[in-house]
Amino acid sequence: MTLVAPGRARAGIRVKSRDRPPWLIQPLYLLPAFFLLLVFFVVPALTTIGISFTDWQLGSSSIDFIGLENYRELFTDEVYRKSLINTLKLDLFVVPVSFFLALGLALAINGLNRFQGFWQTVYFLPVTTTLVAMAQVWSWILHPQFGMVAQLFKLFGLTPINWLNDQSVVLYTIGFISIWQLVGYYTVLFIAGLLNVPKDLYEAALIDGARSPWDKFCHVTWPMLGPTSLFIFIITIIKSSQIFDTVKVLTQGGPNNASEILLYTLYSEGFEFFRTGLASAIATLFFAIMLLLTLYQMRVFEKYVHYR
Amino acid sequence: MANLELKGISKYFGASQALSNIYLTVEDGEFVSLVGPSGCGKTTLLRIIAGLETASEGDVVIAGQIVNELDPAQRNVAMVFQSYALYPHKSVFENIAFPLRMQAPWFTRIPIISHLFKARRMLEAHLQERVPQTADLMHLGELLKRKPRQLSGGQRQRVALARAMVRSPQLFLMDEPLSNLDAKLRADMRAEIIELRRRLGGTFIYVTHDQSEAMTMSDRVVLMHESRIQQIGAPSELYDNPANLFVAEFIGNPKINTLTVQSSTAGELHGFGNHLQGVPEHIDGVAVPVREALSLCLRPEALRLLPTQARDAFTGRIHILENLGNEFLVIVHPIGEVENSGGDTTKPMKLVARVAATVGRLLHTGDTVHLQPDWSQALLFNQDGFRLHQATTAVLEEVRV
Repeated sequence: MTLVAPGRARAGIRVKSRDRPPWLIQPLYLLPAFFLLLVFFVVPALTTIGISFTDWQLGSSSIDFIGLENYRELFTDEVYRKSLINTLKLDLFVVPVSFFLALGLALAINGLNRFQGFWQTVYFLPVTTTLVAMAQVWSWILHPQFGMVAQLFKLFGLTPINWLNDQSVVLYTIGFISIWQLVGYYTVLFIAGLLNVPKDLYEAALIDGARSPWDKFCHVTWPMLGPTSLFIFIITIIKSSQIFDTVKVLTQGGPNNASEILLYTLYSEGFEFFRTGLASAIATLFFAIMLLLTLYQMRVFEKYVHYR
Repeated sequence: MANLELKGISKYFGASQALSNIYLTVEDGEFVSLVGPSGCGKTTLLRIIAGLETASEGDVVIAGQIVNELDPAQRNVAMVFQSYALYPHKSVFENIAFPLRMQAPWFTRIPIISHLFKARRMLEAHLQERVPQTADLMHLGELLKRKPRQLSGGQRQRVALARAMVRSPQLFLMDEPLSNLDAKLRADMRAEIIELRRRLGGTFIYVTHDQSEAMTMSDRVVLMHESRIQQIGAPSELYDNPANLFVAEFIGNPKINTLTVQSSTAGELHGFGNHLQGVPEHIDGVAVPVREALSLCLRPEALRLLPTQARDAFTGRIHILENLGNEFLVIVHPIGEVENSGGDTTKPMKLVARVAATVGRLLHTGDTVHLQPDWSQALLFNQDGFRLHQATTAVLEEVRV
């Protein structure tokens, strides 16, 4: 800059904007992204939190501040409580199963000498599908009388289960479809993690006497997968809490609210019954739970995760 | 400690041959370097000894036992990797303790419950004694609680060595352990490994591409090239008495001078744009063959700078003067156009001489100088790179067995 400036000063050219100090110019670069975030994320989020303290209904002109009334209703009303508990139950089923299934698949595929790409594709295919359409396909497969599964049960002389209409089963059916759709995605992430483990470490472990696959897994693979595992664990929780399409298409929360989960409750309260205030309270609660869970996980697992 | 024998080891990767019929005997307590340019097969050979790779043909014998079928742990060898290969999630203590933990019965590794067994408690007591003891040898006493990422390159190297030493293996295998360190640290670690070995003993197989490392550390050097052993011998043997042109050019820094020369009549030599007279009729123990292109090799210290012209000296012009402090390297190019009789014309012909600093300071680039070979140190090779000297055949015989 100093090299150019004297010449310019002599020529009488005004100093251009790129010569202005960085503290002035750098925030300007951030402005477009900041603006977008503000309009589409920060303002709606704050508005939602605000609305959650009111009795506003979509389209209504009257709006009254009712304090924590919506939240009180959420925790006392039987349906909402059930929705919350169902969501937790679903998470407790989907998260560990998809996590360990994906890890197992990744180890198996990674251990293959040939056709690795083929098996990766097979397990990854469901990720690429549209869940609304696939949910419809599953509803045929699981049909209590004509579905493939029912036929198979009959073949072995078993009584077919009404997968989507049995109160004790329906939540796990929804969970299973979610696992089917996403396990390939986690598997691919795990495989990427496995490929990053230095080969030297396995050889060093072999020479040091870690001969069994179990020892190698405990002392090399698992510790080296730490960052990948933490990431996948958090993603599985977020994804399993986001289950919505299957419930909307297959059960609408039924039977008897057995598959009523937070996101679906939010949707039906907000966009079917237009109780926007209550729906906002659910959204806020959902956000708070996800935030706390993620922060807690980061805190706890950071200690056991070794970034190289 | 144990001796090692390799009997006819060959290794193929698909169609390409990585090792060809390798025979080698390493005595108990010996330090042997495998040295050669990259791709010569030295690392593959080490990995075969370790059991990380299986030989296509031949036997690996450790302490009189054929170990072809044994896995690395059963061979009881320790290996130090170029990348150190420390376990990043384990502390220095646990890294060093790991081989001992793996030697203990499997039930001592069950989390928590194993503390109920006496074997686990005895193991822990043993580790508390043995690990710090080994760490102290490598000056790691203060660092036992650290993680590898908190250590410098040199410290990581020490941890890798300590992990290798802790279980007193039959063989120490080292795969270019110093090549990730900077020059200063490398020299320090080199001295430290020599010192360590003097104190502890042990049989070492040391792979390196650095000939000076091999020369300074080993009892014997195995020089490999193109998947074959070129020569086995003490460092001084390889330096003074190379079996072929490759060995002569690989060993020594600066590189040996190689000139393409021809003799028309006895006592005369053409080469380097010069016509030398009064040359001994016998060089390197053989009568110089007449009318045959030969490679004449002279170490930089076998060239003497003369104040005046002599009949058997090369005349040239100083191209570069390298001041090394205690001495100078004088790089001399021939004067005028020189027809390169049969040799590699792309490589400029030059002679490098070592001179004392007192002499070097008086020289200038562009000076005309006369370099007289010490004919008693000269080596002669034919155009295929084989040494003319009779002893050569004997040396080669020994290598091939």
